[in-house]
Amino acid sequence: MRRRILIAKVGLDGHDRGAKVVARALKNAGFEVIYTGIRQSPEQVVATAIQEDVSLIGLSCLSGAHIPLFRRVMELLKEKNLDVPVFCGGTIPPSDVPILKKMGIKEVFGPGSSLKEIVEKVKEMIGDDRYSS
Amino acid sequence: MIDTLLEKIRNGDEIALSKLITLMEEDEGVRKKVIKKIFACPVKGRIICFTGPPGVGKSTLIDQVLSILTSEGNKVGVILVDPRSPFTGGSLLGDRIRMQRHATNPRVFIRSLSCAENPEGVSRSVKDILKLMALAGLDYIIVETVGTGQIAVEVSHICHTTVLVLMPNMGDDIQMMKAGILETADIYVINKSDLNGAELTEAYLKDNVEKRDGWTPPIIKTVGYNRATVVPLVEKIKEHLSKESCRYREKVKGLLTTMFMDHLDELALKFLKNNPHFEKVVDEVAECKKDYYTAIEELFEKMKKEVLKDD
Ligand SMILES: Nc1nc2c(ncn2[C@@H]2O[C@H](COP(=O)(O)OP(=O)(O)O)[C@@H](O)[C@H]2O)c(=O)[nH]1
Ligand SMILES: [Mg+2]
Repeated sequence: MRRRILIAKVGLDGHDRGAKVVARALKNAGFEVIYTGIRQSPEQVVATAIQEDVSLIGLSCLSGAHIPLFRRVMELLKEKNLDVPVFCGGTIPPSDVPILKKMGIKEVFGPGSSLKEIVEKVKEMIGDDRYSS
Repeated sequence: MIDTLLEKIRNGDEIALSKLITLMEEDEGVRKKVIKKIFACPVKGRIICFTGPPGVGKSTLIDQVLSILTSEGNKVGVILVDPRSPFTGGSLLGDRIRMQRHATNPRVFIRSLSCAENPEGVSRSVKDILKLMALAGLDYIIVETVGTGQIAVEVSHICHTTVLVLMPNMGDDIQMMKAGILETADIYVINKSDLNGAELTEAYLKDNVEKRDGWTPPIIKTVGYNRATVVPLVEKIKEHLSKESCRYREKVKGLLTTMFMDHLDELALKFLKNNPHFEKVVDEVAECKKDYYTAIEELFEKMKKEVLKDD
C-alpha cells in the first residue's frame, strides 16, 4: 500500500505549471500526491517527506540551480537515514543527467518527456504491484 | 513492532510517528491495538478542530495560529483532512502549501490525510490518529476538515474545541449547515473580514448561536493574512480549553453514541449477509405472504438470540 508521492518545486523561480501538471497526472493515475508549492528549500522538502511518510519524491527546478539544490536534498535524505527514491524534472540539459544519476536520482525527465512516460516510470519506481499494469 | 514505535514516539521521534500514522490509516486492527494501549496514558495535548466550507481560509488561519502558538514555545501537530476527488481514486493534497513556512520548524509536525478511498473510514482513523498525536508530546493538535457532512461532526466529537470558519456574505449557506456542525462549534470565525458583507454572516450567526453548558460561543472576525487579527482567536481557543470540561463529557457521549451505532450497523450487516433465514423472509415479503413490519420484528428477535447474546 505504498502510494504517497511528494511533488516539490525547489529554487527561487516562481513557475510551477510543469510540476502541477505532473502532480495532477499522478493523482489521476490513482496516487496520493502531496503538493507543497513553489520555492521550497531542500530542508523543507526533506522535512515534508518525513512528516508525510511518502514513498517517492519528485523534484522540479527551472532556475538552473538544480545541481546544488538536488545534491543538498540527497545529502539531507542520507543524513536522516531516509531511503526514499527521488526523481526530477525541469529545464535540465542532457549533459547534467549523468551527474544527477550519480547523486542517486533515479529518473530525470527533461522538457520533452511525456506524462505517460512519467506515470509509467513512477509506477516502476514506487514498486507496488497494485500499479503495474 | 507497535510497541517499539510507540516508545520512539513518546521520545519525540518524528519518523516513527509518521510511520505509525500510515499503519493506522491503512489497518483498522492496528488502530484498535494502538488506542487500547495508549488511551489511558495521561497526555497534555489538546485537540482543536478547524472546520468550515472550502475556501473560507481555514488553512491560512492555521498557518497564523501555528506562528502564534510556536512563538510561545508550544509544540503543535496538524492533521489536514482533504476530501477532494473521491472518484478517481487518487488525490492531490494541497492544504500544506499555506503553512509550508513551518515545515522545518522542529516544534511543528504537519500531516495530510486523504478521504479518497473511504470517507467513513477516514473519520474513524482521524480520531484515532489525533489521539496518537496527543501522545507524542505535542501541546496542541489542530485538525482541518471541510465542515459539511458527517465527517466534520464525527471528528469534532474527539476535539476539545471546535472552530467553525465562515466568511462574509454567507446567509443561505449557514441555513444549510444548520443541522450539523453549526450546533457543535465552540467558536465561530468570520474570516476574510477585509471583504464586504461580514455583517450579514454575523447576523445569521447571532440568530443561531446560543449559550450552552455554560459557554456562549464567541464570534470573531479575522483576516487570514493579518496575524494581529488572529491573536484574539487564539486567546478564545485557550479560554475555551481552560473550561473544556463544561462540554467535553457531552462530546464523549456523542462520540460513543456514533461508535455504538456503527458497531451495531456492522453486526447487523454481518448477520444479514449470506443468512438463509433472511433470504427466506425476503421471498415471503416479495410474495406478500408476510408484511415488512412483522418480517423486521422477527428478524430482530432472531438477531438478538443469535448475535447479541453470544457475541
Ligand atoms: N481576502 C481574503 N482572502 C483570504 C483570507 N484568508 C485566506 N484568504 C484566501 O482564501 C483562499 C482560500 O484559503 P485557504 O486557507 O486555502 O482556505 P481553506 O480551503 O478554508 O483552507 C486563498 O486564496 C487565501 O489566500 C482573508 O482574510 N481575506
Ligand atoms: Mg484548506
